Amino acid sequence: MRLGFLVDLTLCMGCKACEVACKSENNVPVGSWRLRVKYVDSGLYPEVKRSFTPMRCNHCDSAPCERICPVSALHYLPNGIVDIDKDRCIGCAACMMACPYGAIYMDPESNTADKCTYCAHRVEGGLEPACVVACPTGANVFGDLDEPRSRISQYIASHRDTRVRKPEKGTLPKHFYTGAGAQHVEPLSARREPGFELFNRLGTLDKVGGP
Amino acid sequence: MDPLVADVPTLQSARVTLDVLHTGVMWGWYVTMNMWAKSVGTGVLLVGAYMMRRHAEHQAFYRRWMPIIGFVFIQLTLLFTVLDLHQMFRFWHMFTHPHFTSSINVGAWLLTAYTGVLTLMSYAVWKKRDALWDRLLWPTLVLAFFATIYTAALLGQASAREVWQTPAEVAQMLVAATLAGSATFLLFGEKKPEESLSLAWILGLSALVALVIFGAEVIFAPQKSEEAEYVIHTLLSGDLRTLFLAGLVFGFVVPGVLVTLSVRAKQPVALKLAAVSGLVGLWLAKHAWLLAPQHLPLS
Ligand code: SF4
Ligand code: SF4
Repeated sequence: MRLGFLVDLTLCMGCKACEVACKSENNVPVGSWRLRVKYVDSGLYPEVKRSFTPMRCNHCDSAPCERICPVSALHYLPNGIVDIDKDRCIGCAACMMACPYGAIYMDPESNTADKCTYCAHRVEGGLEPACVVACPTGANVFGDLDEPRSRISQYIASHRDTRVRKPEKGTLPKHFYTGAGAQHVEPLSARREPGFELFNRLGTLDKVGGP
Repeated sequence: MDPLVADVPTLQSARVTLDVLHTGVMWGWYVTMNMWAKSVGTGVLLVGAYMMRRHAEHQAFYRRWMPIIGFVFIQLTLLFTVLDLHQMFRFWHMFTHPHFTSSINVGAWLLTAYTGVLTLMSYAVWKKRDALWDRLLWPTLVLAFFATIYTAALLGQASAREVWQTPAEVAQMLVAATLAGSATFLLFGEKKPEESLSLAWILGLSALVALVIFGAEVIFAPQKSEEAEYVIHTLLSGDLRTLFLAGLVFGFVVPGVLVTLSVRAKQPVALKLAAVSGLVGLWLAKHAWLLAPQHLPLS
């Protein structure tokens, strides 16, 4: 079994329901994110378009975060999920240096690394990840990539524009997008100006929560 | 406007209008201190061993100080490594849950073994057991070599951070060690002029090689990706320009010039200045190199 994700960007309307469901399900601290939806505006008036990109860990088949972790806190589950053992993590942040997608954050309460686990605890009990359940448009598709009849496999087979982020990094992501343009998957394709960040002041507090 | 976006007309109007804050710098000056102290801690062994052969008449000086300086600076390296951990009291997990694909873990074992042999060598100095010291020299040099270059493997594994993966990083680590080792010996203890001259040569050549590698990597080599271009831009014209250029000037240009002047005019003071400048500049250049890729937005 190889669990994977696909987001149909033509269906995503940027409501952030997945983001909120993830924070609530996993008690993600304020200022930290396992899943986020990025907004990019492009074009010139009156031809202006806003794009939404939900981003989470890709659970890469060849994960550099797993390789660099000195204590195996990041590890593979048999179903392909890249999980994290927070009790083992020493907080060296090497995984944050290795993940090319910025998917890992340092939890300010536990002082350990954390990230999306595809809701491994729910999946184990036969439930879908919280973000999939919360999505009102069905833009998030989750399932077994090794099973040709799964919805995700069929979605990938029938959408020739399916792509992953940064394929050149050789990480073999198990998180796909359909309907993606450069603004969705290439971080340098849009300029960043100060003032458009969520909770920016909370996000800069250093090591909140003690050891 | 971001200079790279400015170069792509179709995307000039695209901008991020809602997102989380950029994570910022996670590996800061503690990690720079780690790399810098390690350069001294291994460099004194590598340079000292050469000096013992070249100036056998002054062996006693190097026999005594190589292990002691090496030990002190490797302890500094370990101290800053542990201080940088967000869970520093779990440091022992490195040894109880080792993950050998991780160069950090391999490095932890290497530095521990290196500390062990340096301790034994210091003991041999204290007890005046030259035979033991001689037997330990080769294993110590091998460990010093690998302790020097493992950081290049570590940076190579940090695949999100552009420019750290350049193949010349191994050479850069080695010349940082020879530069730091020679500079430390130049600042420390009484030496004959010909001995200082040998150290000056090592310092000057290390500085020159480091400068050439940086020049090749940063200025002349074509970058393999848009992200790498962004990082180089940050170093040469962006926020880190002053830090990086100060590192190059103090670390490599000034020592090179002062070594040349002092060799010609026989000015030992200039050599001491060259050594101080080299050590300070090395820290600045390493720090800029460490920070630059962390300015890159990853998603
Ligand atoms: S996206 Fe990043 S955190 Fe997730 S598996 Fe890949 S490298 Fe690791
Ligand atoms: S921060 Fe934790 S999970 Fe990340 S590499 Fe270090 S020990 Fe592993």
